[in-house]
Amino acid sequence: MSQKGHSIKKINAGSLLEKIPVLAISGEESSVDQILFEVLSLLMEQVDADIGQINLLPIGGRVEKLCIIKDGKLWSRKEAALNFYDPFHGFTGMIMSSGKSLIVENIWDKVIDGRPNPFLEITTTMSDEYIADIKKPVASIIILPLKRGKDIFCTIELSRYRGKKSFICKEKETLEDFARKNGDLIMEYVIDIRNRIALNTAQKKLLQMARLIASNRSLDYRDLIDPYTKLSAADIVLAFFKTGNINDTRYRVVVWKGGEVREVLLHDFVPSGESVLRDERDSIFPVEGAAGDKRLDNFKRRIENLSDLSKEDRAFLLDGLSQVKSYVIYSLHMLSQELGVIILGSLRPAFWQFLHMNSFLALYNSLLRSFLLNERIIQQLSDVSNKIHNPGFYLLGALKSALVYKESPIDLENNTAFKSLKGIEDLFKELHDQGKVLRWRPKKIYFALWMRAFIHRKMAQLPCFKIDLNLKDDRISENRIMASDEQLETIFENLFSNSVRAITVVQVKKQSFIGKIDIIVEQKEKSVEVMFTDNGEKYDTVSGRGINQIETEMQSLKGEMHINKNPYQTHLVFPIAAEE
Amino acid sequence: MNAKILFLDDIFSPLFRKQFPSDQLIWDDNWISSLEQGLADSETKIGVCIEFIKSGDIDSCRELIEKEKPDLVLLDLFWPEDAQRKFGDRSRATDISIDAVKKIRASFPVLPVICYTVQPDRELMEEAYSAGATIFLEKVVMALPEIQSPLKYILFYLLRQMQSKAESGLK
Repeated sequence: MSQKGHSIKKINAGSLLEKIPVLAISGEESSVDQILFEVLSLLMEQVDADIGQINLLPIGGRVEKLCIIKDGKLWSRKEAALNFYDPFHGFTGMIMSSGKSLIVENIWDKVIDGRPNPFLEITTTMSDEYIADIKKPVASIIILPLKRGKDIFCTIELSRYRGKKSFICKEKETLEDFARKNGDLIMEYVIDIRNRIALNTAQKKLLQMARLIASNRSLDYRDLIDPYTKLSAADIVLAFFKTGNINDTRYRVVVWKGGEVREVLLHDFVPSGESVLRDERDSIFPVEGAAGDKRLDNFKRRIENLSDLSKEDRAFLLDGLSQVKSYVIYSLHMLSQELGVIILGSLRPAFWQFLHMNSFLALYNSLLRSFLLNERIIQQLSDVSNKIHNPGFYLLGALKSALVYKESPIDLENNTAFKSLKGIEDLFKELHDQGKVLRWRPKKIYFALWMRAFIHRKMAQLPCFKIDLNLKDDRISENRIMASDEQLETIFENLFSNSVRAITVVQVKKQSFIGKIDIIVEQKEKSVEVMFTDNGEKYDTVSGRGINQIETEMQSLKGEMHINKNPYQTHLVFPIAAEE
Repeated sequence: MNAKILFLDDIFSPLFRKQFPSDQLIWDDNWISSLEQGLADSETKIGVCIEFIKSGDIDSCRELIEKEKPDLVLLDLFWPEDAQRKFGDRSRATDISIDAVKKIRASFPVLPVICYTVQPDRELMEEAYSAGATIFLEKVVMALPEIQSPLKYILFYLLRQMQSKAESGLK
């Protein structure tokens, strides 16, 4: 970027305020990046900065570098995450304590304002890539705090390359004027959009979880911890989920570390007396702790000594644990059931106040507890039923047989023991049947009716999209398929979510683009067939799991799924249920 | 006549047996022994010498059939521990055996399969028959050989059916 001999004008935020709501429509993660890019680009242009950064540090939310622009382009993030931001040290530490913006002539000077340069003290804690690309080339910087009342919740850092003129006070004042009038409003809006997106993610996870539980399917525990990684300041998340029946001592441990997630099963893991995995009368949560404390050291020792862990799992767990400098533990226990814990860990020491859950995450956490309890109850009820089945009925059979041998059939009629056994048998039968009550069963569903109701719901959720349902044949309304609401929801929610993503790809390039989704339902001899099409474009998938889920559900419905390319269409075949 | 019966029951599965202490397993074993005693006089009563191949490895049912070439399969329908292992859900105990019936039926279309369970319900009976069961029976848990004894006449009927089918095939 060339340095102009420019006059300093006030920053016009008007165009920015017009652009932001349009960019926010899609509700995708990318819209936040675009908004931040616009905000930062405007400020950089104003003061002729070469590198700009927006950092976020709300208490109970992610603390991170949200956006970095270098030479007019988004700085590519080679590392999985950029959250190595330290609000207590360096120049940011100075701003946090003074509450005022800061101008530095050369960030590499040994002494700044008569004191040792605080930035040089923390360079070793920063990523090499970040230092080399973002810090090494620059000399002069301005850091601007944005506040909520007195609390600083965001900082904007602008830098100029070495060899260029240093920033001057007038430039700082212009930025301060922007920050006072519009900065906090814009950043609050950005945070709201981020929260909305994160909440959508959490809501989708909860819905998915509810569907899995309602269909007696097993949960994907790696998926469950996603909201903790997106809505908290944790660099490392460890989740312990107690698994199996009431007497089991197995734990599923899910570890998330800088974007990598791994699930490890700990067999025969009996928690120690003071463990947070126990729900004791005097247990108090949340628990705060730090590296080197007894709890963390004990756990590390146990992981080192567990015999049935693979080398990779053990290394992954130990590596994560050894990086944690401070942590907060939230319990998942409920109604005296030890369900597990969530550990939010930070690479930074004494980071507790940032690690605590914000209200969205706390809501997710409490709903997750209820779901886990639900799952536990289903499990226990089925355990009771199973135990009654075997050995219960066999034991009863043996006792009755013994009596038959001992007594003559005539006497048995009036035998008190035999009558009592009959009573126990009736009781067993009743309990056995009750234990089977919480069981998923498919239903015969009028497909066209279900589809119409589902589409109406989606129309309300996606008002900016044009959604068409075309029933090709009147007879379709009379046909039923064997399925459950949850299975159909999983299939069509995934299809819709894929379409929204594909359409957003186009909308990002052309904001006036109207997203269109067409669903054609046709009647065939023995099946109902659906053709699902949208006018979006191809996009990169992270895991492609949506399609996998649809395939699994279609298989369990004894249906078929085909993907047509050019144009991209999903073709589903549902077998019609035989009428009795 | 000799008849080989493949008896698939989770009672024989190590997965099941390690879940229970021996003082509870004794009731299951007791029942198995009464069944064997009930069928012990088969040779004199129905002219068939019965040999049991007992297995708790339902996953390998197809391979077992190929190896042992049984005349008939006696299949327990309730496999909670295998359901826990496979689906993480003990309540899907019967899904394991229903899938096995389908698998057997796909590879061995005429092999008689007796589906056998404690406290069955109509839904399970329908499922078993649609999967390809030949006969669906209720397991009587009383460990009395006299009560288990009538099973041999059902076995005999099925073996005879098979024999006559084979003979008519030869003609």
